[in-house]
Amino acid sequence: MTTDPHPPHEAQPGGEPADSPTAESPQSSGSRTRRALLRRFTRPGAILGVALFVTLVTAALLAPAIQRHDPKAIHYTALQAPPSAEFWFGTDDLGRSVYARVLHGLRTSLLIGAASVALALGIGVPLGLIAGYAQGRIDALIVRLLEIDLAFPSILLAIAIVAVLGPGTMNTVYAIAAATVPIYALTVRSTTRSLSQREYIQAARALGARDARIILRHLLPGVVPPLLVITTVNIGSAVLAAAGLGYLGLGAQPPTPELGTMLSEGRAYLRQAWWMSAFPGLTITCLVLSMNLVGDALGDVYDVRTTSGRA
Amino acid sequence: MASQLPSRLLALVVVLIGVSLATFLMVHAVPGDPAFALLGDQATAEDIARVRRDLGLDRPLPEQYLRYVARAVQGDLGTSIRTGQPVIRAISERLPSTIYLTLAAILLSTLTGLVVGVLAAVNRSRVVEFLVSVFPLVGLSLPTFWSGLLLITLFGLVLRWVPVVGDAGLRSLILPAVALALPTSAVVARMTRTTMLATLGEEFVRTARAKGLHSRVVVYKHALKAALTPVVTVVSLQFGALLGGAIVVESVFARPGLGRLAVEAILARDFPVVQGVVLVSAAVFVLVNFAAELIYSALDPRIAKR
Repeated sequence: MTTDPHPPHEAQPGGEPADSPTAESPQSSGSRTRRALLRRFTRPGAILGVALFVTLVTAALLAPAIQRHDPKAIHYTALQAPPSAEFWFGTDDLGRSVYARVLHGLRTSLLIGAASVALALGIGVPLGLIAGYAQGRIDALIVRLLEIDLAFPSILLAIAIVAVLGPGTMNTVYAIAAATVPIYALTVRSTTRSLSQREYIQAARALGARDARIILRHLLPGVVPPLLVITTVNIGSAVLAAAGLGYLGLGAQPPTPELGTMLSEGRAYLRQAWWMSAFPGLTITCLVLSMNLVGDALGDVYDVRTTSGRA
Repeated sequence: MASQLPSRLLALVVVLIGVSLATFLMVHAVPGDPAFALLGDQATAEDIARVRRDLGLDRPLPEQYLRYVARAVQGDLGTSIRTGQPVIRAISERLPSTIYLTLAAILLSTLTGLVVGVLAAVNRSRVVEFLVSVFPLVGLSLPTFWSGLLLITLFGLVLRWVPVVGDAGLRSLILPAVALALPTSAVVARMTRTTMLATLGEEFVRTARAKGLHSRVVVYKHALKAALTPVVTVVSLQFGALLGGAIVVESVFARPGLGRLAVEAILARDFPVVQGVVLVSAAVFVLVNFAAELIYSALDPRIAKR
């Protein structure tokens, strides 16, 4: 570990953007950004990403209306039935509709993804702003704490937290948030540091603006663009992590439909009932893919690059 | 670099202390008495009193922590509640399997990542461009536990080329390594492409070309060499992801590694084992990162000056 934990390269687990042009002038380039936004989002990849994401979110929201069967209802006459007009994605070993369970699993995944990212942002952004603005000792202390957090490979940290709190949906949220706080905090910190050197911040300080005002009115808007990109990609990583914990039996607990859990249930029937694992797997992949595509497009617009979430 | 070594070592020690403190407090963060958490609901009052005494839980917290560290440094990580086996032995039995898997995945992902990344940087054909831009996206979006299942289905059940589960030597290492390497190779490929494109535009490459060097020599000797440093960085930083990912992949392929040990321990509420696994893997991760940093500051003197 270094005193400065930021090797100068763009793709590190912190997902921290190297000193990016985003920081250049947060207010002035509005229309240029908008044009860039339009150009990037008319690329096939971005269109596919947005379309996939909207479809999946709509399906999750409308799940009760379009589910066709109750996700927990057991159909004794159709155990491990292959996909059919009645059961679009087939049924599992207990005779439950895989289609209905995928829809509700999607809800669980999106909920965990959104909640864990919101929680991590809520803790990480203030920490990063304070560290980047205060510098000196406070900065060193916060960075040290974040380094200790980063010392735990994220799945392992999540496992430790689940070991303490017990498996469950909310505990999965806490576990993933704890593992992802450093990503946001370090990103915000480095952007804040470079913004603090800018003239408009110096001017605000010279005018006698209070620290809180400088942070909230002048620095916060500047950290939004890189944050937006990293957040988008990290919702995808959070969904993957949650499903991973589910696969290990440490995530959302049955009978809550969860995509990772469904995959691990399907593992025993790869030959007899491929649909039990194929549809949940495909759904997670599409969801994460859509977030990555949108994140890439946003990253191009703001010239921030992230290759993946945290280690 | 040499001048910075003391301060870096100090930072390393601070992080290691923080890691040990966090894992120590883990058991104390369990709601209620740790002894109760260790023993579960069926414990009698005497059991709890005995465990409290055995673990020194009746002592003040700072003293407990110092004892914990003193023992851990000597390789004593406590005893498994489930098996009565010393935790350090359980870990050292399972660690090699996880290390092999992680190393195989690092090797595989670096090779494929470099090849794909270089192709992406130098090739102007649309088909190749499409393929190499799709590869990282798919690699990063496929959950390892699903790609693992797909590999098992194809190569284990349909083609029957390799054994699908367990740890039976090198052959059974292939599929898990591929599944684990996929996301990292995507990251390496992107990184390679970006840095290759950047270095191909630099002065010394132009000079090399102007000297009339064959473009293949320029690409592979000059540009690739310069692009390698950031790739080493990325790979070393991905080590943690791979170690964490190994836990999930081991579960998919039923490999008896560290990850399976941790998962079994959690489900059995075997806290000393969970604590030990978390401590050991975090320590390994921190030390590997430290070593990697030494390597790449040796590779690129510019970093050392920062």
